[in-house]
Amino acid sequence: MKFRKISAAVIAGAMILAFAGTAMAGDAAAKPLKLASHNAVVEGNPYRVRYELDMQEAAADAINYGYEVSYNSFVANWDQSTETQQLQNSINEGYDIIVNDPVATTGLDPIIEAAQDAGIIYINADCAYMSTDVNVLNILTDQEYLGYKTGLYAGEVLGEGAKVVMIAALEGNQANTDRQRGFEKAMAEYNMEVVASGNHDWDTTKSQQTMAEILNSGVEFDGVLVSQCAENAFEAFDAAGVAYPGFIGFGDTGAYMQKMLEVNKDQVVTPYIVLSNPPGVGATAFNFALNLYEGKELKEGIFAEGFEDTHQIWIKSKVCYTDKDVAAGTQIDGMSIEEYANSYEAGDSISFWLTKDEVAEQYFK
Amino acid sequence: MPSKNMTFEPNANKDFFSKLNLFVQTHTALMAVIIAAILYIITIIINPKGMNTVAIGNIILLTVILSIPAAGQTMVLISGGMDFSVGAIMSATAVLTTYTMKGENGHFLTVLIISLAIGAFVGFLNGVCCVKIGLPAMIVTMAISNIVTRMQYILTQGVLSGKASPLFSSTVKFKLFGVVPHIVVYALIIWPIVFYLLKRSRFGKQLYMVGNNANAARLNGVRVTKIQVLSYVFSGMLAAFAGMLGAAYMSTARCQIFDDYAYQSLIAVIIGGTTFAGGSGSYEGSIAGSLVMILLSNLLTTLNPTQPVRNVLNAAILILLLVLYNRGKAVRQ
Repeated sequence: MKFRKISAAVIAGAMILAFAGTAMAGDAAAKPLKLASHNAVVEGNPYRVRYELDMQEAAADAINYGYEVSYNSFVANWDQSTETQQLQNSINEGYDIIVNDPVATTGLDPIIEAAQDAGIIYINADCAYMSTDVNVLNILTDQEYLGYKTGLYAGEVLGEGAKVVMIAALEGNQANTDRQRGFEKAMAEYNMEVVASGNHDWDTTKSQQTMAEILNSGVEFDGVLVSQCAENAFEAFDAAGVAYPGFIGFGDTGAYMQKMLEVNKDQVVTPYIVLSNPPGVGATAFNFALNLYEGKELKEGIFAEGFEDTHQIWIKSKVCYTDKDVAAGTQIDGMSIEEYANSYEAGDSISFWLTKDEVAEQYFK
Repeated sequence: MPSKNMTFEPNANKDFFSKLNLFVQTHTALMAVIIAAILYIITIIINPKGMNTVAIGNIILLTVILSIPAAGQTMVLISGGMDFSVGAIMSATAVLTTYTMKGENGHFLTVLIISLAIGAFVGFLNGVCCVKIGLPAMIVTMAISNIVTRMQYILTQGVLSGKASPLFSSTVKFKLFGVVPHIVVYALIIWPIVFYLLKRSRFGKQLYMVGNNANAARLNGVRVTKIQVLSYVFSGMLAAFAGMLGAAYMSTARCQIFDDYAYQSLIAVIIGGTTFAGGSGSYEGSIAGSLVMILLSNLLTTLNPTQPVRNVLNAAILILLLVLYNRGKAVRQ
């Protein structure tokens, strides 16, 4: 009996040592890497919250490529001096990779140069950094495409010369400017007329209020073009108790996808478009950084046309569907659109990010 | 011999303006109603289509939502305090409402009890810190609102989740005869309670006394601390309930969704004639002030300026109104 106990203890001890040894061997194989994610804002902005969550996922995923990434997030709360100070701290603390979603489109040249001089891979993500005096890679979502695609579908549904409401995002923001360029291009193609407009500043309350006030004004329109926050603009129709518009788009949240499915369940009442503006663009940027860290070179001709001097790479929206795709039974990620829409929480935005291998295949030599 | 008219004309003008000034100062609530009417008339002149049942229904709905946190703000201001936490409390209870209801009916009572408890607790904290400990109200209520905001993120990790129940949403949004939103029923319950508290109850009378002259009130046997803390507790509870109604209106709620209501309710109350000095003001004025805020925003949308111009116009008009209405002198302590 005593012998059995001793044998069991010895075997257990050996197993623990074996597991510990394997784990240690695994750790030893993974190269430690320090990632600093700098963000203009996170709290209060569901998009940026998802941005950071995706970044964390991508950092954890790097273990599959032999990197043990320690991730830290820094938030400047729209203050550029805080942003500069935080970036300087990251340089001093010897981070290997800095991914920055900047406060402003310029003003960080010296700090970017300091990071690059220190051998840090510095990448700008999500919002463009427009200075041409530094060599910084901008990984962005193709915002112009979002506006253009929405405008085109609106034109297709509403017809030539339709009257539309245009609710833009934040005046002066680069992503908004790019999107509006896309909207205007499509509106010009279909000769659409903007009869009322406003901004929601990416604030859901403001989106609903702006739409409610436009309804109050009694202006007649055929459809609503809205730069995200579409679910709230649509909610204003419910609250006002008026007929739904002839078109709405674009939106990208679980609430929007689910609501539009519900409204158009039996027949198409309001044609709509869903487009992803993925918060995962930061995680994709991190995977660009990993490839650069390994010394890979970018392919030729990958920069967005007209934005070569600021090294902008525009990632296309991966998820795009309309009411017609729902009717046609189109699948997304192996799911029906209904299943796909219901897989999202109400406020969660559609997100995806390119893995290190996908980035390498599409953008590196 | 100079004409009598010529001699007395300047005095007559002076008399007219002093009478007008006196009228404005003594009929602040009525003045807010007049301003609201002017704003609405301008809106209709610019865009005659703006006079429609949809607009009227929306204006009533949004005014009622704003008038509820404004009720608490009125009490706090009358007592000589200030409450910047109403927006954060509204956001917190809105998030709690959607998070708990998850789009299903049958959770109203649970949410109501928890929300009111949260509002009362935060209000009590505000009151204790401002009144008992004597810290500046503006700083304390801002700091506590910051804590309330952080708690929203702890609960949700910043991810918007859930939905207000369809039944609860319908009690706010659906319109009787296509014009009057159901939220009016809530107003018909809350407004009389607030009017009673301010005009008829012992609490109301003591609140005005404390705001007018805390030392005199204390010498008259009023428990000043208790009254002031109570005003913050009521403010917290009213904001909490307004947050629930806001969630029903919006259907979904993200963190910090109603933070702006802290400033909007404060401005509405001041436009309605309640002064920072304390001791004066009325709830009817605050309701009228809320109406002014909603109609001003409506007018600016009708004018359709660019966003920066709209912001400048909004701020300029509000500053003008605040200058006109907050000129009451503090009572000597």
